[in-house]
Amino acid sequence: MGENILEVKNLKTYFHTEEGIIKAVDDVTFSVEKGKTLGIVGESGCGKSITSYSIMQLVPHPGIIENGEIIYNSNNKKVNLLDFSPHSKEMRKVRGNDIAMIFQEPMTSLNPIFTIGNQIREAIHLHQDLNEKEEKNRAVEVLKHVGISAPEKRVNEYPHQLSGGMKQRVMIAMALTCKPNLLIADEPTTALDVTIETQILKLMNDIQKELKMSIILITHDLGVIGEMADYIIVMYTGKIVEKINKRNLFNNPKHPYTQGLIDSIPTIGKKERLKSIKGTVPNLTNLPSGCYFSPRCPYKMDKCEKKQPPLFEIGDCQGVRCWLYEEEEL
Amino acid sequence: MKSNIKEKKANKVKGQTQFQKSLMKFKRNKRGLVSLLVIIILMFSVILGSFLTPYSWKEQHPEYSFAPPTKINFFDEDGLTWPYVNKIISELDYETYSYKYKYDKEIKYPIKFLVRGETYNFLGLFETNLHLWGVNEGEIFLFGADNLGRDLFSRILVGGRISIGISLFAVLFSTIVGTIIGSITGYFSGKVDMLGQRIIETFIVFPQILIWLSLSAAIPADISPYLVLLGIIIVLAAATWARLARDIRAKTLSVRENDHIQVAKTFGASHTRIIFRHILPLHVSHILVIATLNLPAIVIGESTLSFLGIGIKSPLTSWGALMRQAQNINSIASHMWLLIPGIFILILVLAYNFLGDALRDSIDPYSN
Repeated sequence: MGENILEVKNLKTYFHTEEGIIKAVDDVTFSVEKGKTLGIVGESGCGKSITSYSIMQLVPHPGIIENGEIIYNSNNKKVNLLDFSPHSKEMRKVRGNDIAMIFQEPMTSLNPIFTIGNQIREAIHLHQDLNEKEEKNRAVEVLKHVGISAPEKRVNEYPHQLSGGMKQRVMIAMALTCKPNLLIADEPTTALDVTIETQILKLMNDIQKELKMSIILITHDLGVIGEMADYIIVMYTGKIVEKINKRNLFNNPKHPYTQGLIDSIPTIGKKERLKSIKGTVPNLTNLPSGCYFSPRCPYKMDKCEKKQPPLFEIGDCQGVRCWLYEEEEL
Repeated sequence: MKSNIKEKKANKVKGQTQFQKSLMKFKRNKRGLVSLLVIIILMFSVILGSFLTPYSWKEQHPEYSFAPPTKINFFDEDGLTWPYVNKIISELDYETYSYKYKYDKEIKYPIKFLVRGETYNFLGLFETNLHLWGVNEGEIFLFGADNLGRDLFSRILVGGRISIGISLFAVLFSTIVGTIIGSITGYFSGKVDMLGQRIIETFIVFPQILIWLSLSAAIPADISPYLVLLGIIIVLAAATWARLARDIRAKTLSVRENDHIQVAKTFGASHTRIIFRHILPLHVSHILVIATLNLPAIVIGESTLSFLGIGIKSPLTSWGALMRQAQNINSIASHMWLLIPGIFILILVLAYNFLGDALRDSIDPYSN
């Protein structure tokens, strides 16, 4: 096992709404290895994005990080990011410089009224002490890096003159300006078509190898996970239900929810009806007692409705939150 | 070859920037262009002030108290001639104890250019007595004279400095305050917004004239006229910033959750940076239009205050202050020309309004 760049321990992010407390991220623990890619999978509203916002300390109102530790390891110096106040200088220095983020909507993620060169230069300006000319050169350099042709010309163009794939490349370029140690990609290819998706994923892979950067890849697309991730956490209703490596995810998933997800991938050539997980995600303000997945689980036991299962560790570096594996635990 | 075509196409698509589009639209708006021209002419005239007038604005000619506008003659016995004025003879009417004026048709004074006359301070730079036009002998009151025999035309041009200057500064001031408070309350929301909104409402719920009256009453009477001027600017701005602040708050609220703002945050941008670089520039056109549409309100406000005697005080003068002499029906009946400053207020307000409308039509990207 390599060195961890980020360790998230017992993270709890709750939303205090009028309908009650919504536990968007409930006691989540995971770590990201240096130079590796962690995939976070789950359906909409399971807390994937809020986990990433929590790492950045940019949880939208009325969300509050209640508890936990986010240990960031920069040059063998470990700091707990939650010790910094969200708007402090220290935290702002981490954002963009150490941990960068790219979003799922490249169409709206760029400021429409500035040229892309201008925006890349802002990302540089916030963290590096370069003069104007050096900033310009660096902007052209990163644009070239992400495979944009004629970068000298493109820097002077406005976002509306670029295609979706190009905009996502620009976003990646912005994220790369300060050579971050960790890149959080929040569904980076959801809004793009499949050919562009492949290009963007390849680009991220290449850059990761080159910069020895870690990536947290958030997605609901298991194909993307198969392409990119080294190991995966599966989230359901704010909790991690399974930690698994890529090979086991597709060949030997443990948790009934993960099995359901894998089964629902369409296969070319098969003419059967597509399998789905029955039922819907429970309302986060009104979670079932016991295991949150129990109402939808095909293997439900009496115990499941009464008690929340802990994360059982079985095999190497896996965890599964299901009573089925109680005895198997080492 | 193919790439060449592509490039050309790209250049063609690039075509017009938003600014060029707005400029084109504005140029097509005749009313807007005319008002802009009128405003520019007015501004130049008031800046040049005493140079464009035959008299200085302070000089008194007691023997010509309430002299009516002097008739300029273009014809004499021989037909068309160089414009001239006749000598004005004033006579005291022993029944009313007011002056009556007649022309002495025999004595003609031709109107001359670049005449040496009363000394004045040119743009505050140097003293001179050179006037663009006037008469070497005799008197010429283009718009008549006031009670002390001061040339109304000269006083209108110099008073316009204050009317126009105040409108610009007060709008600048209210725009800055309104924009800052609006964007801060909109951006931070929560308690800050709560407090900001209540302050804004306090200013909006009162009728504007009441705020103007009460605030200008608070300006001490014994301070220098220039401090009073500053006070009036603040008073006028105080009554107009709130609406703009409200607008900007709403605009800020509508974009503060936008993706690109989130992105800026993840790159470590500070609050001030986000407000001033990522939010406010989106609203520049809106702010510009509102500011222009605030100008006429400020001009009217200043005139109202000065007309009521709580605005600009002597020795300074403005169009509203000049109108004070036309406050009672008697003076209007016998000295109609004292209403001329009102015409200037009217022209300026209309021009500002039309300009604001034209700007709104041309730079608002959402209007069609």
